[in-house]
Amino acid sequence: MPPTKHMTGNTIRGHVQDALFDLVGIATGQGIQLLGMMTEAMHTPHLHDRALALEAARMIFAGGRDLGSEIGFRPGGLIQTRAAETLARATELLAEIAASGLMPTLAAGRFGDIARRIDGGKGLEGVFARGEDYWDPTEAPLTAALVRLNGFDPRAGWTP
Amino acid sequence: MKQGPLRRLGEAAPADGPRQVDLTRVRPYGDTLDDGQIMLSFSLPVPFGDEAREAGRELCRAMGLEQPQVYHASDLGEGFTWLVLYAHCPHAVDYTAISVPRVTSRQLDREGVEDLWRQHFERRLRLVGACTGDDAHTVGIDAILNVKGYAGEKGLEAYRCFEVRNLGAQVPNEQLLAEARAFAADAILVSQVVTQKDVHRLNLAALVDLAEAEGLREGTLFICGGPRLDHETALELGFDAGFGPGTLAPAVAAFVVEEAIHLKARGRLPA
Repeated sequence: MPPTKHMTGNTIRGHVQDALFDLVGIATGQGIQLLGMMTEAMHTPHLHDRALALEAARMIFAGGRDLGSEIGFRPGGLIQTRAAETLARATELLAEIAASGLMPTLAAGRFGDIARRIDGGKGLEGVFARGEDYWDPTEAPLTAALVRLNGFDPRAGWTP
Repeated sequence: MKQGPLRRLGEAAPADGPRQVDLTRVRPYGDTLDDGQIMLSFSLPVPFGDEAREAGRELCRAMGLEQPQVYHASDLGEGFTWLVLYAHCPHAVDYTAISVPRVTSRQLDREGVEDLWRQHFERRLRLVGACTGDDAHTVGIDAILNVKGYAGEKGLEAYRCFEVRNLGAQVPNEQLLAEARAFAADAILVSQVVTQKDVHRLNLAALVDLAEAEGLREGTLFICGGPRLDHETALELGFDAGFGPGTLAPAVAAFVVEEAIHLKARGRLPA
């Protein structure tokens, strides 16, 4: 979804903006998205706001799935230059994270200029250690699906 | 409604041409004066089908609307139906009798605000801002406070006359007041962007109650803002001012400085 600050209160315009974002997303191979919704930044989206966002995304993802393979961008043009710059900065940031660790990088406000300290934030009172009889019914089927997709478990060796 | 022939600009309307708006009886306008056309959209917790459509029409009639037509109905699943309807509104409002309270501070730009401040104060005014309750959307408070501001207008942090502390999102009322007390804030700015079930009103009212109980209300300006707020609502909730969508930093800055001058004149602002 586009940044919330672009939501003006004109919910119909917002729906159009979200649709354009969906199109650019799918045309650039980004099929997993946080969907924008027309009443975002006004109230917690209503049932039909969500349904409309999903309907639009389904339509656009279906129609635009192969659009990216048909489009080329002018060599050295604005889009290519910006993409190269963004990629370079992302690589730089990843190297920085690898060197200093995820939490210190977050605390330094390197993500979107927003700082999140390891001892700050909200909601710790709602976080609990897993009990001995903890069982997540979705874990086994999701892991199976991941293995099926990747040929291996990409989370192997990683513990939460 | 009969539509007259096209007129040249400045040409008077013919006697049998389009009617003038009667401001004492204003109705919604679709494409013809007084057609009263209204678009409605809502969901009903009933299964999709003809009965759901009729329920939508019936609801419009219960709202006092006439000739409701269902343009679209869709199945949201799990026994819910979404409807888009158009209907005719026979009611009218007297526009001439409407009175809306407004923030009455002067329209000043940043330099104007700073000049006004310089004439009255030896020190900077201290502002504490936060997005309170469960709301995690700092877009409003940031647009007003952050140096970079919004739409080309720098935020209050960029003003010489203010010392600003922006506490960010999801700040509990108690913490906001504690920070305001520690900072000896002259004004508290609260943003409520995304809310549900009127929780923003309860939250804002609770802040004022708490401030009164702690003796902080008298010498501090309380200002709120957000897409679902306006000055009248803010006054109802016990605030000094409320700013709706589209507000830029200078409007808030002018209000703070003018009101601080009034507070100082009444000896209620600490030196």
